[in-house]
Amino acid sequence: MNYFPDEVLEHIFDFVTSQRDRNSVSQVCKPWYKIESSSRQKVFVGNCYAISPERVIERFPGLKSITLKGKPHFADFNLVPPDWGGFVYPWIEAFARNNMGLEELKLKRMIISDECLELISRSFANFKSLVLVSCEGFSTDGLAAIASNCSFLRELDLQENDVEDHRGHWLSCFPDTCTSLVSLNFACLKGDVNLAALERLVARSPNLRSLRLNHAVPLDILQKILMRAPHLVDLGVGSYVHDPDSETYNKLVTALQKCKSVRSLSGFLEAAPQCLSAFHLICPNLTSLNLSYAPGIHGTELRKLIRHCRKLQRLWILDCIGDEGLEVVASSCKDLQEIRVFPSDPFVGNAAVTEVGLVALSSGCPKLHSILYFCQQMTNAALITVAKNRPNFTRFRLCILDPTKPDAVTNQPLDEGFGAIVHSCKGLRRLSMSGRLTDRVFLYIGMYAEQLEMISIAFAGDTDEGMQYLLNGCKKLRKLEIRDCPLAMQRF
Amino acid sequence: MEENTRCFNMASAHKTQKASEDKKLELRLGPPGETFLGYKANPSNHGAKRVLQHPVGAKTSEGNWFTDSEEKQCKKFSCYEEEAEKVLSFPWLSSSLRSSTFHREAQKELQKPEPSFLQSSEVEELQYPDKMACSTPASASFPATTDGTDSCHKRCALAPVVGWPPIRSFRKNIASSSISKMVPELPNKTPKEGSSLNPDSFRNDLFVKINMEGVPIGRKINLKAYDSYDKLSVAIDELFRGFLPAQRETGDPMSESKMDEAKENESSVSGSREYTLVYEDNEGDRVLVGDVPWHMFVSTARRLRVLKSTEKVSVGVNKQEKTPLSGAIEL
Repeated sequence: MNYFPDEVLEHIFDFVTSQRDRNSVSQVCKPWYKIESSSRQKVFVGNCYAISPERVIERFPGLKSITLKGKPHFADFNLVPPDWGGFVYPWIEAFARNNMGLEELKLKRMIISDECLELISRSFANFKSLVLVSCEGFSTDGLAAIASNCSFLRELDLQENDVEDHRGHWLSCFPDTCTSLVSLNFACLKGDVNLAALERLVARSPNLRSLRLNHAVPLDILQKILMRAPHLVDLGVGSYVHDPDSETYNKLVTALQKCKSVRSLSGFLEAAPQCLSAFHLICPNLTSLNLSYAPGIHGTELRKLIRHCRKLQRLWILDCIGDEGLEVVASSCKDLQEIRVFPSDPFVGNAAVTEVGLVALSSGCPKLHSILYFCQQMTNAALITVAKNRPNFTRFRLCILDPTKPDAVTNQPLDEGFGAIVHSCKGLRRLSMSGRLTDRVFLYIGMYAEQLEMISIAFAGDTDEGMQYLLNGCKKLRKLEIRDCPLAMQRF
Repeated sequence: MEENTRCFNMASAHKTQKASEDKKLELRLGPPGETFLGYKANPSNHGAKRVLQHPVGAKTSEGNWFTDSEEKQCKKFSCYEEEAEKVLSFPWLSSSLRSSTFHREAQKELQKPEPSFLQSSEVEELQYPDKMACSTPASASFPATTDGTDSCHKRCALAPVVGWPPIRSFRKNIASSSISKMVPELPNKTPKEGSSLNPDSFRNDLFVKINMEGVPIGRKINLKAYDSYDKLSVAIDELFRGFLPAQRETGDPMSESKMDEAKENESSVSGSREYTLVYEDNEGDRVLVGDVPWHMFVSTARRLRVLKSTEKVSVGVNKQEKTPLSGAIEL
């Protein structure tokens, strides 16, 4: 029975923000469904082909913010044919035709054209936020349209997209009246940008809190930008090659002294490591550090930098940090929650980190719960130790560069090690495995990984029994990625 | 702990069950395909052991997945039969969340005779022991090749596998892409620092795409396999030899024309030099091959292209339009 008027229910539902919870709310009864659907503003569509745009518009007429995901995760690794799909145009066209008040658009692994970007910029007067992650199909001309026409743009965030770059014209398209920018990330753009336009844009954006530059922005411009934007919280440095004795460098140090709010640092796309000491000033406050595009930063300079980062919660790094560097991380970063160690030279198979680094992290960082680790080798003993040290893992992704490599010491399959991980980490939601693995590991996973939602497997298992153990045991499994596994799959 | 209570409850429930059913369960427990007898004969089989020892929560330190010594293992093993009921009850029957079909299926699986397993072609080198032979210590049944390939794993380039390692294309040539811009580390570092490896040691392969004008299917070429422009142009000749048009302007033999071209630092697949080699660098620009020193070329080249000389003219025009002077600075 419904004792409250609709407005009250709607107000209560406003406090329910998670998508899953709102979906649950809408399933309670018809009146709740109606109220929830008419009041929902943020919609998440995990697979853009799971539902039609018209259906979404019909159900959520008040929609203001939508997240769409297109190609499967494997598309990042060239395992999905290029004509697979994931076009966003039908969605935008439908939204425009139905006069939706779209304000925020977030896309992951989708294809978006310049025409589509232009349509967005012209159709939605209150458009505020565009976040594109691993997308393609557009050029800087499309960005120019967004810059020109979206008067209230707050966020333009381009993460690892494949953008056809027609040089720096798009930045000049932000009109002088545009002063609303909060977040601007163009680190993935390969070409030059209009540096003068960039400086002016930063100068007239008092709310700017997040700025990630591409490699074409040299140090002297960075220093000028920082002087104008001392309230930045998130900074992505572009090119960082310079002479440590120069006046520019001294000015940079002065500018950084004023940036007391920076909590997140990334970039250093081309970097000379011995000039990093300028950043030691802001390291003590950093909670997030991404040096995974900076192979020039390693060795003693990197370790010095890390030792200053006592409050770090998230670290993305290249494997040239080495096991020794990871030991420094383990001893310095006690608040660390997430770490990703990427390969700097993946096809040589010569990663500089091994199981030693992983064990050090597990023992030194009590809050560590999410890891992605590309390494040279692994052992069951190490994994078992890690499992004992760190039962709080929620995401555990291990990638040995040689995908079928067994335990480096005993030459056994790594079944026991991963078995220990799933047994010990009761809250494990995501798992990626590599190395020599037999059906046995799937038996363990089926038995123990009760909370597992996503698993990625490559070159593992022997028979379809392995798959059976997995599918019968993991009741919460939502996403399954398999490649090159000798599983008959007949019973799938 | 909850587990122990469950163990205990199940154990007492178990006692009321028929003994034959217990025996059935005893025999079945263990990794797929291994019989109880097979396990008993070979206490050195660490893998199977762990499955059985783990549930013995009451007697061992909790969930001790990684066992300490052979002795302990043997002792535990010898009193296995007494603890069989508790042991058996835990993983297979404890949780009400487990579907009953699951453990019926699993029990069936364990009862089955040894399934013949499929091996994917990629893992031929690393054959691990056939399950029937788990009576022998695992390492002995490895083919000798693994010993030899052990050190090789650490040093050799891997056979390229599509989509492996699972990283985005952005990350693929990261080390080499910034070599030319890096300032080398100060020389007073100790050799022990593993992380300050000379970047050169990472670079054994740099495969870039090479397309030829008019040929729909491109090739890939390893720039690191060569140390000069001469050798590169020879290699490119060989790559595209099969795609040459039937007619040629001159009748010069391949080797002569190669030498001519090599001197000019231009690649050509016919004697008439109707082709030009260009590359796309890390900034996305198209540049003529041959202007910069070889190592700098290797560190900045992203892909190669063999253009017809008639094309070159228009390329030149386009390049002029796209020079940084005109493109970047607009006031």
